[in-house]
Amino acid sequence: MSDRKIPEKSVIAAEVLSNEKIAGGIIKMTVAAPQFAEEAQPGQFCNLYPAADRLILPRPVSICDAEKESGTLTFVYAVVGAGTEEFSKLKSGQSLRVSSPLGKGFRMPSGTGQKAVLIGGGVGTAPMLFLAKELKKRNIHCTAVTGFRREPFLSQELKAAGARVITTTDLPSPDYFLGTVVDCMEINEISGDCYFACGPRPMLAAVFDYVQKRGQDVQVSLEERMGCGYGACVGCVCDIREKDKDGREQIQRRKVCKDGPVFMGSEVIWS
Amino acid sequence: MTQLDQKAAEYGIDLSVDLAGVRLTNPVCTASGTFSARESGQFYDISELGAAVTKGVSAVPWTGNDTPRIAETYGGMLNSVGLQNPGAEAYRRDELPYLSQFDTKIITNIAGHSIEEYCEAVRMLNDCPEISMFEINISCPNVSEGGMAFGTDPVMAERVTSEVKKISSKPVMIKLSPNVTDITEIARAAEAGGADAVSLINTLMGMHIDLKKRRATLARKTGGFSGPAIRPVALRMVWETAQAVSIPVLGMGGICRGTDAAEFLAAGASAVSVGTAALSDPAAVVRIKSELLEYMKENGFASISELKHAFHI
Repeated sequence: MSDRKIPEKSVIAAEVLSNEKIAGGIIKMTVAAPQFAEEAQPGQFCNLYPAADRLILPRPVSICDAEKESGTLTFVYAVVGAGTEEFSKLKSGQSLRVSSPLGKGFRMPSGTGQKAVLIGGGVGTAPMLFLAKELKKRNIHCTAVTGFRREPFLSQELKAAGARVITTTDLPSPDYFLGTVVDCMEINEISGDCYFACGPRPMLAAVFDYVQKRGQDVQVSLEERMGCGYGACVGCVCDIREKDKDGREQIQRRKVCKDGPVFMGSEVIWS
Repeated sequence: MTQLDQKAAEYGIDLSVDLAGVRLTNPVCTASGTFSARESGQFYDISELGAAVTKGVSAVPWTGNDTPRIAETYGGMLNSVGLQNPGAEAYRRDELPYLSQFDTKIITNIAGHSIEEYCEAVRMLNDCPEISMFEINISCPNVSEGGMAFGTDPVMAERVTSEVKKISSKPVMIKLSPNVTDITEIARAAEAGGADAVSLINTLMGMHIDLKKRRATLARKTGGFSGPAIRPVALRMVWETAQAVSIPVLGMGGICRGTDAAEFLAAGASAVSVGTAALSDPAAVVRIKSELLEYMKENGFASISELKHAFHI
């Protein structure tokens, strides 16, 4: 059959080049993985495998940046459990098992000269950096609206990538907008030709609501508890609205790791 | 010939085994629910497998359970997928033709809520020449009707086996649940019903509580416990069952390394399946085959039967 493929994905022991705290409980890690950096698309993730025998599941972490020139991948992750705690202790020169980039990432707009709005919530801001860089190469102007509970991160990197950055937090501060990313978008009347969002599900649902009112759609990157992270176990699913060949609408349970993590907001069953 | 089969030939080691009349090039197989041809095949050559045991397929599509379906536990995990699958028709159309390009045997795992549903799925796939064997899942802990209800009652286990046997044109292997006091009782019932083989163990019933969210981690509350933590339980049950029945046993439960596979073979399994290890390492099944080969070389075993006969347990 024509679609038979030789194994093209792998898990490698990648050298950790840096692993530093960039905000409370948030770590930025760069690893050497030239082949993966070459293949990576914005919105994809890699499975990071803890070394401890008692931790048997991979941690899917979205790609924050991929540099072909230096052959590196960068991840930004929150220390939330035993696996990410283990990663946080890795020192430069040590190694970490990393999978090939996985999942379907953001679809790039076809035209140039458009305006894109990138919305990131918490660690959901991470994939927006890689996306902003790729959009810039296509001459697409980016506004990044990033929301955090407390301490913002990646603002400088996004600015360096040419994006206009508006940051919101839940704590009053003279430097940031107080409130949610959607409040901020409404008040600042932020709009674009295309939208991309990654963050907690309630934020994604609110963003979809915001763009829908304007007759637009948004690419959302969903999160779900994963098992294998490559489509074999069917542990992570979400309900997606699809049209069958006769144009009738039906709801399908799709794999977040394989069919996503990026879906159109209009396809997702939000309730 | 695959890379590892080539290596085995160079070592002068014969890895082949017989499972209920089906010749496998080697004893290392996948375990149902942790293998999908296109997805798993991204990471390794499927022709390395002794058999590809595919994900449970039912007569009609099943949507499975709500999420979260996955929880990690100490040295293991819980799942409550609930046999989500696109149904026998889609399996026949999409999965089988793809999988049949590889030089491996295909064992199709069958799910049902009732005897009639098991039989219906078998009927729909009976004439597929690509399938070497059916594995009947009477042990899924994640479905409300059927599934484990058949695997925990010897009368029901015998009945479902004999009904499937009546219509199946292929060898029938019954997948057993460890959630019983005496697994040999169910294994003997399957044998009495005409089973050609038994496979064990399916997952143990387990639970996890999320202290931060103050609720059960799984949407279904309970789920199937698998992974290295269950290996001693699985090994004990395989050993007990292999002595209790005269049909072959496909052994599984927490196999992560070649030496684990050797233990199951030593305990009486004719072949082994690798399940949860494929989540920790997508190419685990091929690594385990390679490690088993090296173990055999180091210990001077020229065949699987030599390995098995070297043990006195």
